[in-house]
Amino acid sequence: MGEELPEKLISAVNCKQGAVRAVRFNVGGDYCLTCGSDKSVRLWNPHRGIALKTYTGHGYEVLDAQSSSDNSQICSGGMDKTVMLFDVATGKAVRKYRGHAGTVNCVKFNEESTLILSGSIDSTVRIWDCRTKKMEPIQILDEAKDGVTSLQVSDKEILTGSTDGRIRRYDLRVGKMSVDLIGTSVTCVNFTRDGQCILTSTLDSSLKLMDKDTGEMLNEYKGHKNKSYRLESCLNVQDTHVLSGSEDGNVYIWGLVEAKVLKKLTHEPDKAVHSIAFHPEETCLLTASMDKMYVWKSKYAPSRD
Amino acid sequence: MAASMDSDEEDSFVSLGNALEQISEDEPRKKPVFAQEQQAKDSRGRPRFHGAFTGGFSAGHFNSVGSKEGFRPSTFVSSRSKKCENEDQGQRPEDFMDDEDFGEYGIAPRKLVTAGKFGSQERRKRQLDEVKNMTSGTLFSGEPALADIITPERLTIGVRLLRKLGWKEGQGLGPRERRQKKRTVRSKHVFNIGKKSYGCAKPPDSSNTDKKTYGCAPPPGSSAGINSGSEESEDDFLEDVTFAPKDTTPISFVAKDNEHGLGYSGLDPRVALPSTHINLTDPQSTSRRKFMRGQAFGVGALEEEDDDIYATDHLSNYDITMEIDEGKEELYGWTAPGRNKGGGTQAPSVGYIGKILEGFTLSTKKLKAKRGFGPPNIPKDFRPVHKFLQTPQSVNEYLCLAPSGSEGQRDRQKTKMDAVTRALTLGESPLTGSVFDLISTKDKTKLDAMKSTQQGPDKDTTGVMPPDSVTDETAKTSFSSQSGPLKNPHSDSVRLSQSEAKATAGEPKDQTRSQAPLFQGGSIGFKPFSKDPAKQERYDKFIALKKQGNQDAYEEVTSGHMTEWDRGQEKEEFLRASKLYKPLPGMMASRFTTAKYDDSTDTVDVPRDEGGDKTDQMKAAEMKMYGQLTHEEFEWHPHKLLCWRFNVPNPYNGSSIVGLPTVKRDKYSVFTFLNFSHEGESQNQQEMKALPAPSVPDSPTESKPLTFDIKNRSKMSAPLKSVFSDLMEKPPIAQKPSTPESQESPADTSQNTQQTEKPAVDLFGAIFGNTDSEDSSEEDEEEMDKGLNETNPSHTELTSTDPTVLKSDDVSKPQTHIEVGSTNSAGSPEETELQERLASSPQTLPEDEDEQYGPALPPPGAPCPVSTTSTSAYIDLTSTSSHKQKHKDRHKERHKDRHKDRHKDRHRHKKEKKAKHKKDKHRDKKKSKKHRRRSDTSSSDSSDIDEDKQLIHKLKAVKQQGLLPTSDFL
Repeated sequence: MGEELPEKLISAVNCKQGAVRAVRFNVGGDYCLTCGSDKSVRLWNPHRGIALKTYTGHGYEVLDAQSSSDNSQICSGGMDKTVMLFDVATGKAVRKYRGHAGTVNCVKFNEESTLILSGSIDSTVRIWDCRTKKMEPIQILDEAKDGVTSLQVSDKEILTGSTDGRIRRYDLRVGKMSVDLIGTSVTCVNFTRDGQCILTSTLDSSLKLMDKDTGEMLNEYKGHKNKSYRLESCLNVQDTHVLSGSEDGNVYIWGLVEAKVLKKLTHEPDKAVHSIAFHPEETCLLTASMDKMYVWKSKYAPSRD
Repeated sequence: MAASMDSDEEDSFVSLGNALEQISEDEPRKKPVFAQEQQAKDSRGRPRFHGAFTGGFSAGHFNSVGSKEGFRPSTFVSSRSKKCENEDQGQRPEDFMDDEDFGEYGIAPRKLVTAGKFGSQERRKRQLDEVKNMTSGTLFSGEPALADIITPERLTIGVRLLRKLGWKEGQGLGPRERRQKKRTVRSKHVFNIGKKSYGCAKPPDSSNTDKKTYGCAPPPGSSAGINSGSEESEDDFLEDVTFAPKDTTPISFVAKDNEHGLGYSGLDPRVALPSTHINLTDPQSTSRRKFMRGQAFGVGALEEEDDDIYATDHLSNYDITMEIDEGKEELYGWTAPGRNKGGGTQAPSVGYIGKILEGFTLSTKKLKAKRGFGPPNIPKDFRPVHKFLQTPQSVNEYLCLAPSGSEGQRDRQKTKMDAVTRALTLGESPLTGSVFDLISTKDKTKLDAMKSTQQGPDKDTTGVMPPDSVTDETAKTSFSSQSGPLKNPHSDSVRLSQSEAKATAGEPKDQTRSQAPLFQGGSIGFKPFSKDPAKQERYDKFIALKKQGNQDAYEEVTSGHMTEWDRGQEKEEFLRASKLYKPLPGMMASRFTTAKYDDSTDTVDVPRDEGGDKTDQMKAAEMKMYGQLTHEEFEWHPHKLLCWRFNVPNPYNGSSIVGLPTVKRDKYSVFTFLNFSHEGESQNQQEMKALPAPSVPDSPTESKPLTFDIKNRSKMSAPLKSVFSDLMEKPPIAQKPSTPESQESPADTSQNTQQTEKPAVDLFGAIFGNTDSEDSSEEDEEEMDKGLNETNPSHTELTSTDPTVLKSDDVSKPQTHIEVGSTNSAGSPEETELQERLASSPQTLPEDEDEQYGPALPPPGAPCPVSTTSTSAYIDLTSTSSHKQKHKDRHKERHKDRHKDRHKDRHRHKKEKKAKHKKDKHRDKKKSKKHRRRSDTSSSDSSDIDEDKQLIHKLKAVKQQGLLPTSDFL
């Protein structure tokens, strides 16, 4: 199980949303969200390839979305500089947070889905409280010197990757912000599942595994191409593999320790695979390239009709 | 407080109408419904009209008629038990109507109306009847045309109510009063003297006012002989009786709404036409007028006119009342024009022909004749056609007139005398304002020409004069004034001299101009009004004058043809411009940039993460030496709500800061160069506070920091900043044994600035310390040895790539430092400050050390005491070689100690961490995992390692074995 790779293409769904900007699993991994350039967020069952609902309300392309831990709400952010909160069942917009001065690159709920964190090109992370009716952020993390490209939230930490080549980790418990200089623009940050390391993607076509506490580089993953786009990377469930999209139309899979390319999942050639999401429990990978969403599973998985 | 005030304010206001609804942004705005979209609806919300364009009709079950089948008239039902009410009449029309017909717009609307009796029609009819009754006897009886004009007087409700209350016509309103009281009041009114009078008041014309009178007043003319016996009884009799107050006639102000002359009244038919009945009682003041007056034959001039025998007598001619005339009193406060005049008997002046209208008096003043202004005299050759100047050329010509017009103005200004011109005219030798005034005019022009041609080199010679080389007192002041407000009069003088040459030759030179020191840096003057040359010229003059301390500089440059307002405006403008634009002379301007922070304070608040020097980090990141160099930690305060939502206790409970706390940082100033310290990457608070690294350019030669070595040396902190430059270049180091002479040389400090900095030994430890590989430790040792062998290498080495920036310092410094070393008295302020700074640095440093690093400083009584006076400290530091030696020794020691300490520290740190982990273990599973992962190498409780966690560990292990084989601290 641990060594299984999501190498079998189960389906490639044309989302009909324009360009698919992001794919995201929900907490359980049963559903997924796609963010389209047609200002909509769509809820899918990726395993059956069915679109369940479309959430509209954004004024421009939607760049990121996440579903809450109880699957009742969806937050999304986009190029209209707003962060929106949708009710999953009714499909209506519950909140619309304005405040960012630029495109919202990434949005995340906190663990209890009481807060929405949004990172924007305006180099701030704004933290919105969805429990209250307040429309102002409760805190603005404006330490980044350039746009915030990626954002992760754990139970007590906020991790941001920024175009200024730094990753910032805000530890709420200790009350410390640690800054690690990576050098080149960071496009994606991820905690490992054990929360001890940080996987960063940078625009010099490399992924780096950083020790969270000391900032040391533990490993580096190369071979893919990432020069200009905000490509995402992730780890698999067991933290055994590192996956990343690439601008040459592949998804690269490295072994975490060996740092060798184990597998390339080919999509359309020369079309960047910019968004990938790994199933929280199973060997299932979602990727997005152009206007399609791809579902990859283990080679032993039964192919859908 | 504010709320209560608000409420108070609200109380004091009366609000009318309904407040508009607050528009909330989220709701879409209601669109106004246009008239064509509006629909007439009935009470049940159904559309009232169908086919409204064809006349509209009501149709259908739900629109007009009562049932689905259609309209069903109520049937005639009459039974024995319930007899039809209107049996005799049969069916009424109402029976065939539905409720819409009874509605507001139906054919038989049922609504509350005033009964016909009270309706306007009925009332009008009654009015007409009354009119008819009234006019029945008159000429216009029954004339409907005049009925509208003649309106009968009707009793108003007020009158009727008053009558009900017992009021009678002729009485006044108000409570009834006693006679006596009334009398007194009245008497007072009459006499206007505070005398008591009983009974009837005296007539106003009675002369003996001082006498007391009792009882009724005698008739006018008769004397006051009245028996006083009746007085008593009458009073008694009158005591119980109350009288109604006197009636007042309301003054009716009739607005004049016709176009008749004043006082005109129309022909009264009753008066004008003869009638049989002569009414004696009706007041007919004009009764006489209706007859022909005068006799046919007339009377003589001296004869009196006889009474008209045909005149009808009238009762009003007789005084039938015993009351005195109290006409005035009736006015009750209101004084009609002319009435208040005493007697009102102002005879019309002689020669006045005409009647004086009632209510008017003749004016005493004569009316002034209105002055008429005739039309202006038109010149003979005036032609009422205007020719416009339209060709652009002509416009230009027109514009060109302006300067020529101001020419005369300028001349006038030139004649204005000031002290110098006066002195000149008196034949005195003029005061020399500057050295340049002594130069002959020929030379001066030459100089000017030279300056105007080559501005660049000129700038260099004048503007760049370093403060050290300035010896002349006057020169210094001028230098300082240069950086002060504004402009260089030099350029002014150049420009002005040109303009002078243009303007008028032979005139005495404007001394106010030439007095400005000529050499104040030649640079391109700032020209805010370059579009308007005349204005710019004025501005330049203004600036020049202002620089000389002329308070009302503007008054002298202003030109006469401007209006007061213009002048005020321009003055403002100039002042503003002079404040705003303070152009620095060329070289200086290129050196400095606009201040980012206020000058008055020493430190500024910057976010803490800005404090560090980034270049090293960048280099480290480029070399993929991630870790200590690239890792920084800052105190960060989360919002308390954030903690709450994350279910995390607030790490800084009660702190009001949110985000990064700010740190004090020195501003970027000249003195930063003198003793700034390099910041290490440690998170030490103290060090963070120290100083910023100024932005250091990347070129290797310049990356050598311009620092005085003293601080670094004593501080022993690794100048990490230069690590990479050293690593990369490795400049050839000339190893020279140090000599005490060289150390004692006064140029010591100044030379230090140009010396390469041999990175401190522990620097390498700082970088490679965590690796602790054998190689690096060997390297370390080598370096240490080197450091030991070289007796203070950093002081003796002169770099080959020494920038020549501070050459002037080289020349100037030795003397000044000797001065400083020997006597503390002399020296410019800059120098003293410099010296102070230098001297103070060793004082502060030991503290830093103390806080930072383990080994304690020698106790206060140690051979190297920190002296209290700054000068001695300075001397100590620079001249005592023995101290140096000790210092060095200590240096070495500390290296070792620190090295050890660092490791110890690490161990301690780890242990602490472990302890913490153990504590956390119970409540935080993840934490415990981490702990396990961390501790598995060193501690024994690494039995339960997860499979997946092993991977990370494996990775780490690989790393450590491959790259950093010996890990003595892990």
